[in-house]
Amino acid sequence: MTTPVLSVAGVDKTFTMHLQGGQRLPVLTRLAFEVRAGECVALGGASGAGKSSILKMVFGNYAADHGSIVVRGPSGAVDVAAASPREVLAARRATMGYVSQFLHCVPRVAALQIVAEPLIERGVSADEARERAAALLTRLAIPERLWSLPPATFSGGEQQRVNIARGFITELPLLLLDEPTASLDARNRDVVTGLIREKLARGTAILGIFHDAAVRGVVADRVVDVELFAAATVAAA
Amino acid sequence: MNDAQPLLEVRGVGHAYGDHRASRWGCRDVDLDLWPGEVLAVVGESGSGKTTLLGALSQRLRLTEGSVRYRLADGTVVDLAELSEAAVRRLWRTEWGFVHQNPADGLRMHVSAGGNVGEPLMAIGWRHYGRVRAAAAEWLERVEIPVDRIDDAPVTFSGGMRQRLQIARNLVVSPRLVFMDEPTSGLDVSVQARLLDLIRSLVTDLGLAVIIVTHDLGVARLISHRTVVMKDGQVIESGLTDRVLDDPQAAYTQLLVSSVLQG
Amino acid sequence: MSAPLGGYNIGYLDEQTKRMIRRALLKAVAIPGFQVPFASREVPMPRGWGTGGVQVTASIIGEDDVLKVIDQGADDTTNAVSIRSFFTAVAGVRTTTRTDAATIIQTRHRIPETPLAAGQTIVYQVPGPEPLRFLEPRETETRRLHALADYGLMYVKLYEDIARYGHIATTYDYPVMVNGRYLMAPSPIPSFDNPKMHRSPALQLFGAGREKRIYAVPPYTDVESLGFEDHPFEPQRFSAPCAICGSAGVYLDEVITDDKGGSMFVCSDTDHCERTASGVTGATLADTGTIDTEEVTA
Repeated sequence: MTTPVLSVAGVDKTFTMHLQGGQRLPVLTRLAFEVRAGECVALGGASGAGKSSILKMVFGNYAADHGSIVVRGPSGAVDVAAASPREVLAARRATMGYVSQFLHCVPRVAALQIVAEPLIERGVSADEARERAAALLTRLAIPERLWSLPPATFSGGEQQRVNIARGFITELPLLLLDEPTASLDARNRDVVTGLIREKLARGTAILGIFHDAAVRGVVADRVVDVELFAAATVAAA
Repeated sequence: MNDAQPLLEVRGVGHAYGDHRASRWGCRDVDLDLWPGEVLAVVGESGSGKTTLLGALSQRLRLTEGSVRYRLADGTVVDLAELSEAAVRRLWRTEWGFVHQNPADGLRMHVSAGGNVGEPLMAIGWRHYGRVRAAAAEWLERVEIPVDRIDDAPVTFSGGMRQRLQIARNLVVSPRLVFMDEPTSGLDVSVQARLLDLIRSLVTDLGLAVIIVTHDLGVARLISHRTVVMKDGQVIESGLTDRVLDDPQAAYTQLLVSSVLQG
Repeated sequence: MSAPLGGYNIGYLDEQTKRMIRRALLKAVAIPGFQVPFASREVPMPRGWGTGGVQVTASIIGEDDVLKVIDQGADDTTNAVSIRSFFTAVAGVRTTTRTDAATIIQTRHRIPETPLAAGQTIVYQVPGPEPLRFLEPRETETRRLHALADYGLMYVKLYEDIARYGHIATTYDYPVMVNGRYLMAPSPIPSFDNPKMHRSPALQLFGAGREKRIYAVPPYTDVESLGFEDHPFEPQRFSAPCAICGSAGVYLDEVITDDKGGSMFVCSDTDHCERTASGVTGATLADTGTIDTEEVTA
């Protein structure tokens, strides 16, 4: 059995709302699962179970209270739960990509530039990066007339497709997807499904949340039921 | 250059105002590291100690407690408090920059734009007028100031343009570390946006390490890798910027984040 | 040599004051170009009339000295005459108008055309000793700049001149670098005279009475006028010779000769002119047409 690209073990997560009298909201207890290269694991469970929080903890965007989240990339293994900010940034650069549910972009930057940036940051020439970005945007049916515009004025679906392009343009060992097809029509959904399967064929490990059962059925190798790791609700502190 | 060593090591730094009987700590017990190419935001409200911290780190205020160690371009690590005044001046001329909140504090208001940007070059020994002028023109272009204003003095510039000139003057000698004190406060919103975009791209292009003091979380999110939150002179929380702003752990950080006006 | 005036110490200043000034002079000579503060005394002329020069001369003058005093190159202008009489009265020294016969030359705003020799001392009257003052008004800051040899600011001034006028616009009190270390104000001598300071065999002393500073350039010291590689220092040039004595390559004054705008250009250095004149009457401007005072090389 190959070493997993992502190993989550013993992870707890509780939100403490200091502005609401210190009320604690436990979400996850002793979460554990693995994802291997070329494998797609879907996170399942009801809304509010903590699926998005899991993706964000893996990416280092949320803090884990306990446990370990080990990602293995070209430069070695990093426990994101315990790593310093620099190590997390290095892991994001070399090992994992994240496609959020909503596009959070730097304002006033053109869509083409937004998609090309992850490549430029990793040393690809600006021209080549923009070419590859153009190809991906075309595949995702973003018309060329929109490439030079900042996505803030795009429709929800267009923004999501720019988001996907940005997340898919690099080749990283681990890809985190949060509802990638949520705002898309059937045609674009199929395009994204195709992109996911190509990534998997190239050996990328994928951890994702797929609300659409049909998409999940096509891409996911297995489902981890997050509700199995639900924490019992504790009375307000 | 060895990127495994931090550029700046700050340990237990504190600065107290006033004498020992009636002193008030501006900041206390601050520990942090800064690496080359990293942007660190120090956020907090008025009186949080963020400006005092900036002053202590940039040697404008003397440390009451603690130490600041800096790694020079040649790799040697020095304790800043032990440097002679001449050595500190040399640092300011070659390796450090400081962008003031009010651009008039960081410019010679009655010297031409070209002279302002050329001065750091002449201070380090450039003696060819044509080359100084060409370098100044190149930097004016880079900060989007029309090159035909090269002979105009900043008294004739708008606030945003003055600030961009101040940035050019600081970056012309390719410093390794730049301190910024609320560089966008006091500017119109659209001007702020343009300035932040400029800072962001310059930082990436030049691999600058930056410590930026701001009360605006949006500024921190836009340009910094890490954020330190201060209140009453103490560090309340620190970490990856998106983690601190999206999953704030401390009560005060949660208050700050929730207080941001949503457009 | 006449007997000095009774009731005054030789040279007017008391001996303790002279010793204080000599100590300052020794420091100044030891650190070429560095401004040494001194306790400037009252002398019988107001500030702004050469009190610094007078105090320096008074501290070094002895009964065997021969004194020449010039003002803008002339021995016979009011101030030169006045100071010369002063020292005749209080020091009883011999005086001369001949540069080569003097042991001490006190000067306001010129260096004589006749090259100085070893053993001579030239004392400059200085209004403003700080070359950076007009750019940096704070004394605390200029002292620090000198201590750290932080002279970029001076080059900003030269840069501004070239940007504004196409050339360095300073024509007098042109800043110099002394012994490769200190930036110095040579006093308002025309930039034409600056090259004479470089490796002069004479001792050059500078006194600023109102500003209370003394500085010095010992013999054979490097004195370099500032400039850029592509805009180097250029002393003024005159295209025509003196109308009286015919000397070329000397600093000329314009003298108005009549009410119709007629003028002539003559040596500023009266001693040099007298001795070179060979009886040829000078042509006036009305006769010979325009004479350029500046010739800038390409």
